[in-house]
This record gives sequence, structure tokens and C-alpha cells, in this order.
Amino acid sequence: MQVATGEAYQIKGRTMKLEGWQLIVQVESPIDFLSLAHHGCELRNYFHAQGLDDYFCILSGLTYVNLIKYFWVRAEI
Amino acid sequence: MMEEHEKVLIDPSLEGKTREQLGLKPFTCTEIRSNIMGIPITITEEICARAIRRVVEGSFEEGLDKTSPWNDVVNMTMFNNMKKGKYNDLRMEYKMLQKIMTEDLLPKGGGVDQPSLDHRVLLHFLIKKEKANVSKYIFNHMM
Repeated sequence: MQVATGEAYQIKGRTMKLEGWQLIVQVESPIDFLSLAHHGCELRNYFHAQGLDDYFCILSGLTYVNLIKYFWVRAEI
Repeated sequence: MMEEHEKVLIDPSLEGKTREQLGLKPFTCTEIRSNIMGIPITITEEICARAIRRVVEGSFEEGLDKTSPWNDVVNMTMFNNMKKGKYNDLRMEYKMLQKIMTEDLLPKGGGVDQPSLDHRVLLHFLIKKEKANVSKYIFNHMM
């Protein structure tokens, strides 16, 4: 495996006083079937018929909450 | 086919030899081959199917053109009409299904176009709940 990067990695400084544990992360799914159904658009049965339930579970997948908090307090515009 | 062609270009005396005689791996199925950080990667329909936890089976259509009888079938399913309608004429469920198909099943860079007839046939399978060969659609979309 080739992993030459040239420059050495540096950890950026924090850009805000908030601590990571004070943040609440709201996780959104790419397709929110529950919310769609609530608004009168029931689609789950279409994808169930195709055997794609697992696929959409993978899409919604895991969110790396700690990593997001770590980056958030170091964010810059 | 491309591999044989390359070998013959380099050495014209190899013309007409079989893949095995040219020192190539025997042809089993269409593959996408690539290389990520020096690691050889091969993608096949089978691999797509395993990735989405599904078997390679179901209906599949490709290379359809304007004269295909599928046009009428698809328009009937989508618009309940023999004539092709507009996106706005679609029922809300079908609009969402089309959106999910173009953005999550068969995504493509550079904006969303009108789905091709091949993809509208997939939408027809989705709407009619007829099992489609989704992994094959995804694999063919990658090529």
C-alpha cells in the first residue's frame, strides 16, 4: 500500500470555547421513510418488495458523533 | 475484448489467438478493474449484490430505444396514459421514488437529468413491485 503524504499532518487549534461534550449532534438520514410516511407518502413497501431494506439501512449507516464534535470545535470559515 | 485488442496491438502476430494463449485470465463475467493506492480492485455484479446484501436476480432491461414497446408500458405505469407526461404530472409517491432512484440507487455527478428509458423501466418495476435486478442496474451504471 502506498501512503506517502509528503507533508506531515498537524492538528488544528480549537476555534471556540464550547467543549465537545456540550454539543448535541442531530443525525439526519438520507431518506427518512418514517417522516415521509407521516406526511402521507408511504414508500417502505416499494423497497421492501425489492429486498432493499438492508441497502437503505447501510445508507443511513453509522455517524461518527465524537469525530464530528472534535472537528466542530475546530471549524473555521 | 479490450485486453485482447491491446495484446494484438503490441504484437500483431498474436492476432486470432484465444485469451488463454495470450496469457490472459479466462473470461468469466464483465468486471470493472481498478487500483486504489496500489491495491488491485475488481468489481463485478456479484460484488455489488453482496454489498447491498441481495442476490443477483430479477428483471433487467437495457439498451431500449424510442421504438421499444416498453415506452407504452412505462408511460401507462407512471402517468396512467399512453403519452409521456411531465415530472409534475406524477403522483407524489412516484416523484419520490424517481428521486430516490436517481439520487440513491443510480447517482451520477453533475446534476440530475431526465431518467433514460432504461431507468424509467426500473422505476416501472419499483412501482409495480416487480423484483428488479437492482445490483445489475447499479453495476451497469458504474461502467
